[in-house]
Amino acid sequence: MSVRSMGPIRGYVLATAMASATTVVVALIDHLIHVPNISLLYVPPILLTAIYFGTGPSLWGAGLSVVEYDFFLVAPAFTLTVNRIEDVLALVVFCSVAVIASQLAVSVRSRAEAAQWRARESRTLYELGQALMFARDIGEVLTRISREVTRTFDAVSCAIYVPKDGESLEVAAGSGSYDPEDREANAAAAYAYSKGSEVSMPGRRSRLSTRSGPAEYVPLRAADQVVGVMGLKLKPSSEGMSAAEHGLLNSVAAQAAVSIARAQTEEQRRRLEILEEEDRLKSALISSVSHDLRTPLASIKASATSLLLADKAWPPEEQRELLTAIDSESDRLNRLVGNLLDMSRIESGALHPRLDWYDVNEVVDAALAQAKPVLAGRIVTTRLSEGPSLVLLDLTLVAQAVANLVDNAARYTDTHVPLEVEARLAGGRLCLAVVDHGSGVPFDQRDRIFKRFSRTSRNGESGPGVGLGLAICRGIAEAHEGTIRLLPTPGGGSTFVLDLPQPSTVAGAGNHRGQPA
Amino acid sequence: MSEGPPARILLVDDEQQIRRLLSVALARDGYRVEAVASGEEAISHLVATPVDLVLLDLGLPDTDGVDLCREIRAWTSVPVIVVTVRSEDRQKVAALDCGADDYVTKPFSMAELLARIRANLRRTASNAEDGLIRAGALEVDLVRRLVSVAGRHVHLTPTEWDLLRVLASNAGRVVTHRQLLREVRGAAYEEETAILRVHMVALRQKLALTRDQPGYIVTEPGVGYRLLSA
Repeated sequence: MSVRSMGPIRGYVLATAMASATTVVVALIDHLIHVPNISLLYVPPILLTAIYFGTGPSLWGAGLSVVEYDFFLVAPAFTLTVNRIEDVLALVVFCSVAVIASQLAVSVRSRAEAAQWRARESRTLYELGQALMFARDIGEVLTRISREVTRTFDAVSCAIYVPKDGESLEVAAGSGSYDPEDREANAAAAYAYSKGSEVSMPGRRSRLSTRSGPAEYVPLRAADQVVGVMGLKLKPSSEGMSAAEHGLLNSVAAQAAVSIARAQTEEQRRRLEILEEEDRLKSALISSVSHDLRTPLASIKASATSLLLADKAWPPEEQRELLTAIDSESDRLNRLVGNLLDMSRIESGALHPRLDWYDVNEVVDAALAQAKPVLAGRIVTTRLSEGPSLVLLDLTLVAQAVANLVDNAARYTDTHVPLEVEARLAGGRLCLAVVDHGSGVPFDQRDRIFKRFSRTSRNGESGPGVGLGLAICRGIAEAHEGTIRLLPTPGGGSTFVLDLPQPSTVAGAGNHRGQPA
Repeated sequence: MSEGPPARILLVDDEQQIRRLLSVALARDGYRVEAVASGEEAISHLVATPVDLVLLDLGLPDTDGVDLCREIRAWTSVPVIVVTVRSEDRQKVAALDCGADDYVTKPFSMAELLARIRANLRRTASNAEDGLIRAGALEVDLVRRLVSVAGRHVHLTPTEWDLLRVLASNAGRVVTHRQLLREVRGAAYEEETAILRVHMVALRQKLALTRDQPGYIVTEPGVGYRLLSA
């Protein structure tokens, strides 16, 4: 309950009513029995008035009480004669009571209000902190702040302006019915931003009967820098903000400023990291190009130049061996180039799966067909689901991922070690597993095996290939919103599982292609 | 290939080295090869001298390969095999849907290229044949609508038969999903690949000799299917 909200006139009316009612009561009692200090009955209503309505109404009540008492109850009745010392005393006492009580009440009330405000402020800031803790990025942080501000101040809208690319301000987040194109608001925000000072706009009635409430534009200051502006539009009925509300708004603005500044630092750090990562990738690429691509080239060159030697004829068998080397080494070179291209597509985010329905068996068949060159003389068992089981994926990509896994398993195990390829469709997931019973991946290498240019070492020797195969598998899995895992095979060896989410219903009629062909 | 005059092949590729190599290699197999370096030359050559087959590199610098396919197909039914690199997957399918008959992916082996050329030349000659198509132990009699694997008669549903018929009459050549669906279910169903997969699985199982063998129908990832030719 607040004095302001009760309205001043109401206080006077109630004070009058209470004084008059007391007069009636006093008159009744006085009529029945004679009590010497009956006028004391006027004190409680004056106290009440003082507590609830403040000094003015209570003074009015005190005066009225004395006048009424004198007029109606002191003989001679119906005359206003203040000739008795008691009446003067009563007037003085009543007025003192009114003033002292009302002043006391006011100070108690304002202290209570201040405490309430502090509680509200800390609650708002606490809730904001809670909300921000779970925000993932700066956009979400600002959206949450603006939502919280709108709620706390019961505002029409709240928009947070942040300079875009260090240039002009733009609404980065907002809540309520804000308009990013609102020229007046943008101008006010720009002014607050450039001057670094608060801009308050009073509410007004416009010609077209739409009313706009007051608005506040608070610069968001972190350290010495203005990092943005928070614009708050209040309801048309609002009278503007109190000092306490301003204080709260400033605290929230400080919070927002810190968040923005932190996000900007984070962004810079991430950019730097990406640059460093790119740098690492580039140098790894250069070393891999110079080494891994030249190795097959060297074989091809050696074989071809051997065959070209004019001074002696090659026996057919050796000639064939050299030609086979050229053939298989050029395949290897092609695969390496393909891997590098795929990796760069994954890196640049240009890997967009073209989803379509396929049978699980087709996926495995296509993968094994691709991996055929490295599978010569090896036993590969496939465990597939019976009957048609349709899956939604990009066959080219997934088959390549599985082929990479098979290829990997074949390269890192001895030729006599059997391989297994397993496909299981259950619970809205497609699990494609490539199982080997080789020596397994050393424990310390398990985490980094899916990273680019990481090759596990076997017997201190680095393995064949550029070390892109598994990174590509992971890229393909992620492009399908799936995962890839490395598990130990029971009894020794590695099991790589490609886990791809699947829609719960298979397309019947209708167009269910991911993208038009 | 011994009977009749040698088949003429128009080779369109901007790489001089490839033109020279392929000319030598294809000539050794008894083809007459004429090589040009651009789409423009290809069109003017085709207008002047009819050929039996066009080997078209999709990565020509002067022309869009897909447009060239469409242009060629607009006035001649000469078989067109497009040559692509792997990263041109979309273009490959677009070219096939625009009238190209088949594709090979660079780098290819000569055996693969020769098989494609043979299969696509055979199609033009196959109209005169008896409608009997063989692939390994598989025998498809297009006239009497009979299918057998290793002498064992195979019973097919009407849709499965339609699929096999289309693949068999294009034996050795790739048939895109779109083409298969159009032939089997009508143009309105060109996008319904899920239906195609279900029937294809059933068909493959019926034609398979053993459980683990992929059989005679090869999946061309992202493109379509191909019935292996004998």
